[in-house]
Order: sequence, then C-alpha cells, then structure tokens
Amino acid sequence: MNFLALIGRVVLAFLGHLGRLTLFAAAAISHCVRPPIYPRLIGRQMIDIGYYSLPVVGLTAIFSGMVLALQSYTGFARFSAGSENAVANVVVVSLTRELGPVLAGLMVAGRIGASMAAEIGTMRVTEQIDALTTLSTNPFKYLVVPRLIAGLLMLPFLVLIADIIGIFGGFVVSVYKLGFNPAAYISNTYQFMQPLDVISGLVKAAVFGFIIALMGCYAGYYSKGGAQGVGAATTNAVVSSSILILTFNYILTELFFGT
Amino acid sequence: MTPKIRLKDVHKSFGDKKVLTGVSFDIMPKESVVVIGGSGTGKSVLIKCILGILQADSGAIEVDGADVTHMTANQRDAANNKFGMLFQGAALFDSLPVWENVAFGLIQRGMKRKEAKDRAMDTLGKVGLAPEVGALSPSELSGGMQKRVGLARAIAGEPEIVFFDEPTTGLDPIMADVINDLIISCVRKQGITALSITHDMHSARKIGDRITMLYEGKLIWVGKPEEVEHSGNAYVDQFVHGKAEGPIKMQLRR
Repeated sequence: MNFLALIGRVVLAFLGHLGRLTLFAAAAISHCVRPPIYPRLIGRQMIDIGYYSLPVVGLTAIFSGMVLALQSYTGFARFSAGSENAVANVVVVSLTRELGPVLAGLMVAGRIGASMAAEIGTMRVTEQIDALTTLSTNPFKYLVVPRLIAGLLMLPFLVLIADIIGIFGGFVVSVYKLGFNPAAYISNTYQFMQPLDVISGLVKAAVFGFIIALMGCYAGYYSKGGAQGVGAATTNAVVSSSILILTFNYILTELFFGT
Repeated sequence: MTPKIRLKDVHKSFGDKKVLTGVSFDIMPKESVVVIGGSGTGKSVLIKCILGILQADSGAIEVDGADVTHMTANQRDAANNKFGMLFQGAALFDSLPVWENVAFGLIQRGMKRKEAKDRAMDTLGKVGLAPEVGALSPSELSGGMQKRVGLARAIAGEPEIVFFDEPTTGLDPIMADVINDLIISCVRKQGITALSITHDMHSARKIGDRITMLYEGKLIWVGKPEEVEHSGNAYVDQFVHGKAEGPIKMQLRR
C-alpha cells in the first residue's frame, strides 16, 4: 500500500511540475507580445547566447563533421569500393538535419541553460526578483522574455554556422586524409543538399533555443533555499532541457520526414 | 483621516503552516511603525503581502483607501510606484553598477538615463556615500555600504511609503546607528510613511513612532516606544528583555 502511495505521490508531483511549467510557458509567451520590451537586454542575451557560444559550437561541429566523414568512409568501404559520393551525402544530410541542431542544442543547454538557471536562481534566493517587483518591474518581462527571444533567434544562427563548419570538417578529412577529389566532394555536397534539410534543422534549432531558455528560466525562477537550491536548479535546467531537446528532435523529425 | 495603509483581518498560510492569522492594523500618513517579533513569526510575509510579492489568502489590504489585494498586474505596478523597500540583504542587482541600482526604478518609469544617473548620485550623497561609489559593483561594497545603497534605491523614487526589512541586522552597533539616523532623516525630511520590521530593540525604539508585536500570526500589542519597556504584556516583556524563560517557548530539540 505504501508503495502505491509512493507511486501516486511521484505522479502527482510530476503532474504538478508539468502544470506549473505549462503556466510558466504560457505567461512567458504572453509577455513576449506585450510591451514593455527591453531591446538592450535582448541584445545582451543575444551576444551571450550567440556570440559567446560560437567557439564551443564550432569545435563540436568541426570534429563531428570530421568523425562523420571518417566513419562513413570506413563503414561504406565494407560494402562497396566507390563510397566517395556517399560520404559527402551522409555528412551533409546528417549534419544539417540532425547533428547540427542536436549537438549545438545540447552544448548550448550545458553552457547557457546552466548559467540562466544559476543567475536567476541566485536572484531569487537573494530577493533580487522581489526587489524588481517593488521597483514596478515585471520579473517575467525583465528576466524571462529577453532570454526566450534571444534563445529563439540565436540557436538557428549557431546551427547555420555549425552546419557550415561541420561540412568543412568533413571536407578536410575527405580531401586531405582520404584523398577525395575536392571539386567532386563540393559538387556532391551541393547536389545532395536539399533546402528542406537545412530548413528543418533551423526550425529544430529555434525550438531547442526556446526550450533551453524556458527550462533555464523556469528552474531558476522557482529555485529555493541557498546555494544547494541554486545548484539543484542548474542541474535540473541542463537535464530537463537535454531530455526535451532529444524528445522534440524525434517529434519534429517525424513531422518533417515521417511517412 | 484615511490611513495610509489599512490591514483588515489578513490571513496567509503556506500549506498547513498558518503564518498570519488575522492581522488588522492602521498606519497613518507620515507615521513610522515598527513591527517586532521573533524569527519566523511572519514579519517579512506581512510586508510582502502589502507589496503584492505574496498574495494574502483572505482579508483586505488598503493603501490610501484603495484595496490592493486583488489588483491586476498593471494596477499593482502603478500602486508599487508609491512604495520603496529596503531588503534585509539589500538585494542589490549584482549585474548593475551601484548608480544604476539606485536609478533602476527611475529608468523603469521612463526617466532618461542621464537624468536618472544625476538623481542617483544626489541620493547616494543623501545616504553619505561618495560619488565614486556609484561606479562600483555591489560586490565591492561592505555590508553597511550595501545597506546604504539599498536605502538610496528605496528612497530615490521619492516614494510615499517605505518598508524596512531588518535594516540593522548584521551590522556593527555604530553602523547600525548610522543606518537608524539615515532612516529617521530620510523619513522625516521627505514626509514618508514607514513600516519597519526588526528584532533590534534599540533600532525599534529609535525609528518608530509606534511599535507593535507580531506573535503567532497576530499583532498582540501596540504602543509607543517609551511604553514598550513596561508594556504589561508578558510576551512583549519577554521579547524586549530577551529572556529565555517566559510564555514564548522556543522549539528546541533536546
């Protein structure tokens, strides 16, 4: 009986969190379209999320592209000798559709989601959010909306850069290590790349950017206690946004390419 | 005369824990009222209910005769323009320099940044801080300086009502007295209505026109500072004289 009660408590707590998150997201979206909007804060967040994440996303993308080219070549070599076309195809499709948005999303979740949760969480436990209210400033508009808008706009930008760098990584390995013809590799890449591959990746990136900012802000906004509460909020933000990114990746792939 | 703040049978609970169980009280214009009481008795909750940071479960809170308990967000923002608040830990925004902390409310209300900065510098002067402090980050200030910046932020918008949450807690006796004097001079000079909460009896006697004690969710005694020593209330006597023995039992695990 106690075991059943425990399951019931866990389910109720989960539903409670889900309801609170839904209300939080609805309130945040409604504040996004109502003035006042803070362009200065949106700009600052865009630089934080977009510009300062470029090195980590770029490094992830270039090594992913290089590994992809190498693995594809050695994998395809088992089945056929002429795998030159297939490598360019695999690299461009995998990067633009999947690896670009998912890896960039996960890296930014670790970097930005954690920092948002820590910053807002610290503001919560040190009463800075209460102070905003007393200064006639809505904490949602001041803290949450700029991060959501910046996340939504900057992740597609990062993924576009990651796509280009990743494809370049594949090109470098294919040409300099595997000895492919550079002109043929570039021609194959252009030939196989479809606009929908890139567009689907950018749409995914926008959704992932929204998820990262939402979970970072949510975890920070409702953090409790002192340093331990802020630490827990940071962990929750990264774990929950990573899981949601992978879940929504499947849902969006099904919507774009499902039969 | 209409009270500046009127609390009518205000209740607030967190789950099963009842924090306020029927607080009723009037604060008159330009009056300085101090609420005393032990830790965890709900003093901060009382202030947060008036400010709208927390929603009272029942009862009414009126400011200048207008019920602020069930206002919309925009109405609440407008009502909050009348308020200033000095938080216990100062609650300065650590991402902003000191001057921008002080000018924050002014900028949010639409004042130009240059004008707001000038006003912030003037206000820093009123709380005894040099103009160079304006460029520093809050983390570079001592506890006493942070409190003074918090006080400057609370009064920069020329509010009608200021709340002080434990204004002298954590400060040495000299700095605590400096803060008390600043509170008195700011409140008297600007004709502000003040509601302070504290455990510090020296501070309570000095800054209050009236003192009231919160115990088990209710205000159990109200009187003038000079009456608090001989209140005739056993709970107040025990608190004021800091005795372990008396009707107030601390929940200690033995």
